[in-house]
Amino acid sequence: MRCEEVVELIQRDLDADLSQEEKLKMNKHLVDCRECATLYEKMKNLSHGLEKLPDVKPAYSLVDAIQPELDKIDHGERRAVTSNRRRFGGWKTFSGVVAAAAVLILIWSGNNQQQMQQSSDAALEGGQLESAENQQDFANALTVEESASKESMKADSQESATADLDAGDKVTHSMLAPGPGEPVVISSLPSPSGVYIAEVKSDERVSNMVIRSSEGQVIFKSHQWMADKELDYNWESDQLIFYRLIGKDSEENWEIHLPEDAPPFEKRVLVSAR
Amino acid sequence: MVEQELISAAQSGDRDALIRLLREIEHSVYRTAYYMLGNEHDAMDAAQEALIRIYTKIDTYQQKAKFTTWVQRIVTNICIDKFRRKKDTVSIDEHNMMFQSSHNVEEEIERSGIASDIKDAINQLPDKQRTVVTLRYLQDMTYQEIADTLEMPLNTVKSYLFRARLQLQEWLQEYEKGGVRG
Repeated sequence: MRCEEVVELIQRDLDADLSQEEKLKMNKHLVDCRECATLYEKMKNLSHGLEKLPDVKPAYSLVDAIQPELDKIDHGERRAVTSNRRRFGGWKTFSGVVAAAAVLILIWSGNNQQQMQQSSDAALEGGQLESAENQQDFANALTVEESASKESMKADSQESATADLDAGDKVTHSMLAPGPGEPVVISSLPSPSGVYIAEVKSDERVSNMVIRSSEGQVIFKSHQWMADKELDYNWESDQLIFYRLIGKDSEENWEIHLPEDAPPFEKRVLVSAR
Repeated sequence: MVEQELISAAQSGDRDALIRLLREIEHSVYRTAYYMLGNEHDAMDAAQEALIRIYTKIDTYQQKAKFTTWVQRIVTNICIDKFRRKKDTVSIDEHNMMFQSSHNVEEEIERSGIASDIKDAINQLPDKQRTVVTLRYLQDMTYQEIADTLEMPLNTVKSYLFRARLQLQEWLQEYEKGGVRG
């Protein structure tokens, strides 16, 4: 056996990779070859030294150290989804495909009964929708000021809200009654600072979203949607949450604007639908 | 060994499970980073970067692969990137790297007079050799596990490991003899 071959066997022996037969061959050669025997000893010592390298531990918990970064990432991901969504409002493409594309802004106050919440289904079928025919309309819808929208949209809401769902309670009840089971919270997500929490409830037939304050007060109840729709929702900030409902042939994008201080007041914007 | 259930929970969006998972692997991630980069500061940076990457990419891990392999691939890639940036290496040719490293270790010995314990010698190895040595001895991986981690052929792994050990043995012998050229 040549020395070059034995050097490889020596190396593999350090990694416990030799068969019994190979080990016998190697040992036989080492008896006869002083040079290889010396190398074998040196390599064994080296490998032993490598195996004894001290374990090292970080001086502090790395996971604790990166927690703020992870929080930022969570928030950033939400923003990334949001920005995709806004880009998705590459509205020209969107409206070109969908003739019935609509933008609807609803205002609802739980304090007075004049304003209403409207189910998106009703909104889509009601014929009172304000169509957004171009990107500018879409942009306006996104940036519409609360005060400006309040008056102009209230009338539309009142006229078109055939369901007349006052303050969302009836929505909840109607969801509760015929469902196959009690609605349960299937998902929840606190706003960035935790001042609000969004909960998705479902009874397996229909689902909706409820937003509560940190004290548990219900600030907002969404319309219901069929539970087989896919929901994607994310907080953009403590005052703004987006949600998207994706059905087989439909997609709705909603924004819910929430108050900075005393609830309840919210503004819900149907950004797009098809 | 990380529990499969914990990994599954982490992948399904359970943030607490994911954080627990990171806590379980942080020591091992740091150990690789430390021996690849050779100092605490860089190792902390690289290990944190690796953990963040694992946090954001956990959904891409496919359970048919070993979790350890996936984790170590992430941390070794980050370390290799850092190593290259730090060295400002123009060529990544292995032969050049070897020449450069050998020169560095001699300079180090001349300057400090104490350089060559094994850890310092490892630091002078070319990055791939150092990576293989780290996975073999600090993560106790087999040839196959190293090959899977680094996505390289098994024979290449052996080649890097064998060359690294011969080089280390040579450097350490020179040091023991006080036989520094120059």
